[in-house]
Amino acid sequence: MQARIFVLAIAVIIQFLLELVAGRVFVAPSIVPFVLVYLSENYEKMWAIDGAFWSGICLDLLMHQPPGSSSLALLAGLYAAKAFSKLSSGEGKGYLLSMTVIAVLVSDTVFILLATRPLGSGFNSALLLVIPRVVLTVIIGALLLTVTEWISNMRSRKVTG
Amino acid sequence: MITSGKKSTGRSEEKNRRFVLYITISLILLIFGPALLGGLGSWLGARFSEAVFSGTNSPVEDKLRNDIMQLMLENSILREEAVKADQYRTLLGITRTDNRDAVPARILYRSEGLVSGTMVIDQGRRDGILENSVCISSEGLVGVVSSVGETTSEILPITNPSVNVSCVTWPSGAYGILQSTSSGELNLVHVDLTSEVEPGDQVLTSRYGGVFPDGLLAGSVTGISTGEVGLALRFSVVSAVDFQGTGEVLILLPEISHGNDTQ
Repeated sequence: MQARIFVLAIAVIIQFLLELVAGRVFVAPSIVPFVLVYLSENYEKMWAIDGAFWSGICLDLLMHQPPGSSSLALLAGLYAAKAFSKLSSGEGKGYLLSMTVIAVLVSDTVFILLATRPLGSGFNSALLLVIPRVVLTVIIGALLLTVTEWISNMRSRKVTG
Repeated sequence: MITSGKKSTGRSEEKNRRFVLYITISLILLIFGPALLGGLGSWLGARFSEAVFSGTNSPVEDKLRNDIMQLMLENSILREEAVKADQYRTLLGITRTDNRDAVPARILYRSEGLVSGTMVIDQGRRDGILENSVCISSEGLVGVVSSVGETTSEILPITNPSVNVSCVTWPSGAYGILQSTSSGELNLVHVDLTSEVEPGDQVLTSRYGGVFPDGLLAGSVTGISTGEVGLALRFSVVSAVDFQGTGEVLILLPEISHGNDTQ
């Protein structure tokens, strides 16, 4: 459990650094929803709720965004991903990435609408930024899943000799 | 079987309760968060400094330590005042021809991430700041005050898509509207087809806008957007202000009209 909390904390820090660096140049991939989807599907379901709330609060405090906006957005995104998983059936990388796409799409849209001032004024072409962000997240997610799969295959090969 | 069904129903209810609880907390933070964090943060900071920087048993050491800290603080304040004085000299040059009152302010922080660019300053209602006051820096026009709190205010920069500024170019004298795209790029739009705007022309606020006083430098023309269909020209503009590097600003309060004043 502590290892998973540590992984989520690292994901939040990496997200913060990506927003500061890649976010200034273009858009940064959204790592946190991907990690939350992975943890909630492979471990306890509470990651989709508690993890979304606390990581959202941390991100808001780190990036000087309106407090509560990221946590609301992540909760909405994970809820939408969960609704998608109830409607569909599947497993494996493609399933996780599909849930991630839904989570990132919904969470970023909700965030833009909540965080812009005046409230709701983000309902314009700024929403188009969400699309490249989703694409980048899927690429990073696919890479991470492939690498972790390869590492676990290497380990199992070692054990079986 | 019945037991496991009851258990899963109970877990599901528990999850729903937690979900609703976190949504409620997030909404409360969104509405009341800035005020709560500001007050709590300053209280915690005071307790922390009391706990960490409290004195030792030796009164002489304590006194020396306090004196050193006092001198270091005064030194840094004086250095900061010297930098500010330079900037205020430039700003006063801008306001000398205007009858408005002005309030100097410092940018506390900028928002980051997907929605970036909103700036918060350290002056608010109790310092005389009003909504729709104009914000400038020593480099040029920064933006407009969008919301005012008791001790802080929020500035919408001109690179925000919701801010439109009526401008005129100099020396070509063409009128247009300065708008921003969602990526923060500035464009001067609705410029007459017959105008002779050249790259390098300055973009100044015009007297037709009603919000911004005229003559404030907003930016300079970098090029004309080609391929535009219509009866108006569109120019790309680079802002005069470095929004990432700006720290000190001046808030121009709305003009109070006096009956017998002439300009």
